[in-house]
Amino acid sequence: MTENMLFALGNVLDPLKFLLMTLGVAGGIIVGALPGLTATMALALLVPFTFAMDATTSLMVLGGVYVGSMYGGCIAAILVNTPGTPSSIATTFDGYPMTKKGKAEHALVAAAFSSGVGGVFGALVLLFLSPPLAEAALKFGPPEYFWLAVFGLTIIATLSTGSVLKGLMGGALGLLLSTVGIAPIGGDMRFTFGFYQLQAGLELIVVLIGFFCIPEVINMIEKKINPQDVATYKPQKGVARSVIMDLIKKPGLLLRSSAIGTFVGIVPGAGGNIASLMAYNEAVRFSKEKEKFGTGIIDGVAASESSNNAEVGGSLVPLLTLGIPGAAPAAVMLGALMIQGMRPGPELYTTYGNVTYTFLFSFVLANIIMFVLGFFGSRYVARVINLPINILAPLVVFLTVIGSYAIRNNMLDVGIMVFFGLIGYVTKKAGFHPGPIVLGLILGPIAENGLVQSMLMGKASGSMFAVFFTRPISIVLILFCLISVAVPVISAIRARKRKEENANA
Amino acid sequence: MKKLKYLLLASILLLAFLVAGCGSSTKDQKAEKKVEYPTKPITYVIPFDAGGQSDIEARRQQPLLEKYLGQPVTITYKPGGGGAVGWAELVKQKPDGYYMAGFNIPHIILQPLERKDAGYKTEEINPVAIFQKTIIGLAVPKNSPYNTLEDFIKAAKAKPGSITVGGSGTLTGPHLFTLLLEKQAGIKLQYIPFTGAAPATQALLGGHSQAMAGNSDDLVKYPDKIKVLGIASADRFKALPDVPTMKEQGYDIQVSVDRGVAVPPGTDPVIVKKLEEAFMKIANDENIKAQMLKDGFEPVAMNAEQSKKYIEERTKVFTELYKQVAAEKKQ
Amino acid sequence: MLNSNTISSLTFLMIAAGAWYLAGDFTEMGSFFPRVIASMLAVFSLLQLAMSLMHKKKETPFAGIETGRVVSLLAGIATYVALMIFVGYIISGILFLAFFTWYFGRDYDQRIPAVRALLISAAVTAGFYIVFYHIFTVPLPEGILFGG
Repeated sequence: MTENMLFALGNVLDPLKFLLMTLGVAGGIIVGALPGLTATMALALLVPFTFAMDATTSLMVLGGVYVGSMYGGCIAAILVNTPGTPSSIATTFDGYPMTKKGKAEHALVAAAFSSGVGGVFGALVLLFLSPPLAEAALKFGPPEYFWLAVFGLTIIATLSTGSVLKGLMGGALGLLLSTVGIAPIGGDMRFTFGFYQLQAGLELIVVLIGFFCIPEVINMIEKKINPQDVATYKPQKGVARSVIMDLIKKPGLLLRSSAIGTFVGIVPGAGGNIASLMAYNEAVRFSKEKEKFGTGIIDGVAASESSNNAEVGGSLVPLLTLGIPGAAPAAVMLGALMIQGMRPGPELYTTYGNVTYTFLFSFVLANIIMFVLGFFGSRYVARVINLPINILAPLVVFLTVIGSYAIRNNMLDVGIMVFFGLIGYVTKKAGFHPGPIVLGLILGPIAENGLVQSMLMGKASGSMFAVFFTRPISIVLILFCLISVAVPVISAIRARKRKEENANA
Repeated sequence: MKKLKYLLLASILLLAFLVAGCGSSTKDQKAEKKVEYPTKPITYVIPFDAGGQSDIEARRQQPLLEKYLGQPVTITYKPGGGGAVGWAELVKQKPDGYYMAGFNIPHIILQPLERKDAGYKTEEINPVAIFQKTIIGLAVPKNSPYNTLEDFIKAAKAKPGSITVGGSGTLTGPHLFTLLLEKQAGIKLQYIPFTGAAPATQALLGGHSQAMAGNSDDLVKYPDKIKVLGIASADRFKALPDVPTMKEQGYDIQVSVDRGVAVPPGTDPVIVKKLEEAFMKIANDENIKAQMLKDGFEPVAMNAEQSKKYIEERTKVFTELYKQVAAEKKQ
Repeated sequence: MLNSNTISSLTFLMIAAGAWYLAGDFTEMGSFFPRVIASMLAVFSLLQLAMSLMHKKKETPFAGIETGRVVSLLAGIATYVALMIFVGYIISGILFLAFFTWYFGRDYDQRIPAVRALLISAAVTAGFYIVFYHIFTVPLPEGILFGG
């Protein structure tokens, strides 16, 4: 093992390979920043090129693209409230308000730094803890997925600004929207209204763009533009340093978010979007200044970004150890491994040890490269918002249109995006935050599959109760759900009591 | 001065696009008249997600296709509805040979049967070639009490409906396999559909389902974690030579997922012929065949004619089976 | 006059009812989850409805908005999408960008000349065409009129 590691270290520092990987990271950042281009697409596109490369080089380039694209998603999220990838949903919550306050560079640097921390965390877990964690991931069966989704839904309380009831309505609507398309069990065509394209269901990124981006664009132009009111970015000295110093003082936040991201990544089927939302939720829960979240604070951006980059390393854990991809881009990596003649499993760490360790080391390095690029790039990228509104607003619409088309090469998706954009605008004015709706849409399939598959398991074993309520991990998750619901209620009651006491005194 | 430069750049770009756009459309018309084919890049649509088995196969073929056809081949994805969205688009395309899509059996047969409006009909899928088979087999975890198919069936008979069998999707290859086994062995199993082969495998390895009707490429991947009780091929599967076929064990079950490539209906036979030649060359390439086998697929080489016949033959078998299942459901 | 909370809860209630009704055609396993969710949506909407009727307050969510501007943008997007189907990505993109760059540009003291707006739009459309079509091989719509 040490021998392999030493060999790998030499390999990683090979100038040509290093250069190619840096290009991979840079390309990945661009892919991530443009809505409609996904890490999965970029990786698939590169696979034929890897025929011509040796195994280590090709894996290093692919790893670089994967890492870069996860970070790139935050750029559009912060600057124009459009999650470039679903993984950066939670980044919009505080990132965009920061931009509106003229702190775009702060947000971008915070994202780069926390992405780097999260990415390295995930990569180290991948390097040292893969086999035991992969075994643990297998313990996740249908009932566990169901409870995981329920636990995820408790985030609604955090996401609904103002009325929790409206949040719940939005969440239920999102869950309902997630059932459009072919039923996972039974194979019915549900709510397709005669559109054969809807057999595929609603594409998450298309709905996301609609709900998050179109309302913002309309906001930009709904009143006569007054150039004095528009947020601008002026380069200042020392922003990057002060942001990083600020984050270093919050190791708990970064480590917690990274750990959540890695954990979610390891569980196959739960991706970076869930990781970022959960980490955001926990950041709010543990914070002493809960009310500041959503108004544009660094903590929100850091939680989301560190967890979605940690998720990358996590998603490769079951892939390399068991051949089960933890997320869609990881599936393409699996394809690339196979083409190189490598099989996931223990062999990877023995027969192909040189290649595997080179890849794992390069993964740590890719995260550092990503940080450096993000760190120095932020001040240039932030200038995008200095474009006059009459150029920026149409440009963003233009990008959302081609983005929602490109994701599945489907014209109907563009119509759906615009439709949900309009709905998002109206509902936002009526006090519904898009967060819970999107959360329902993300967690719906996981909840439904888990629920129905568990019911089939219960039918076979003869006890529904045993399937749902007696499995150890399920019990832990149920406890999490209860705590998650109970704590805010208790603290609200306490707060009210204190108020009354104060009033009486 | 700066303004002028800017203007110039923009107009050059604009011009370049108009030229590029016109160029391709005129070539297009020529192709239809004289059947000079191919004269421009060909789109190869994968109706599934990137990184899936269909994608890997197409990526394997891509460089060779470009070599034999002399034109770039662009792979794009139109996933959704278990492939249905991609096939619905395929049959609506202009039949000029520049748009082809991968197809899977039994998907293209069962979807139009089952769904009110899948967006296409089975006979509209105009096959060029079939090049790969994924054979379905029955697997249990290594620590399972069942060591043979006989053990398994005995246990299922003792407690009907108590054994769970995971598989990818509803009315798919694995589901059909399970239905056929139930019917022929006179047993009742509890089939649990998963959203793909990977989650089904995960559930088997984690012990959440007791057995799995799995694809051969997954069955070869975990020799030290699972036991394969039987495989639904005609003869023993080369990648798993020790596993007896279902037929050897007394059940006439042959289920596979067959992958091929198709063009829109009404495509000029001359064009189909050209594509067919390229695909057949690749399908008969020893190197490609060895790679497929190593990955757990069975390489096959059926030309357009054979593919068409094969689809017709399978359609009959599956329609019959589907009717029985539907009738049972209603009871 | 109904307030926005009453309207939204009634709308959600209708969606829940519609989903419940449509789920009647599905198989047992296919209809279970949608119906559970539809019931939940109905309960939440009813609660919201009750609350909105109890605490009647005037809400003006669309105050201060120049409806004309919003409608023109939405109409513009719709036209853009329709145009893209017919004449493809390039022409529709240039026209859409140019029109709104000029249209909203009237808000500024220094207005943008129509010709300049057109050139900027052409450059942007071309740039993204290269990125999407040539680098990432995404087949952008060519338009029905041009044989797409």
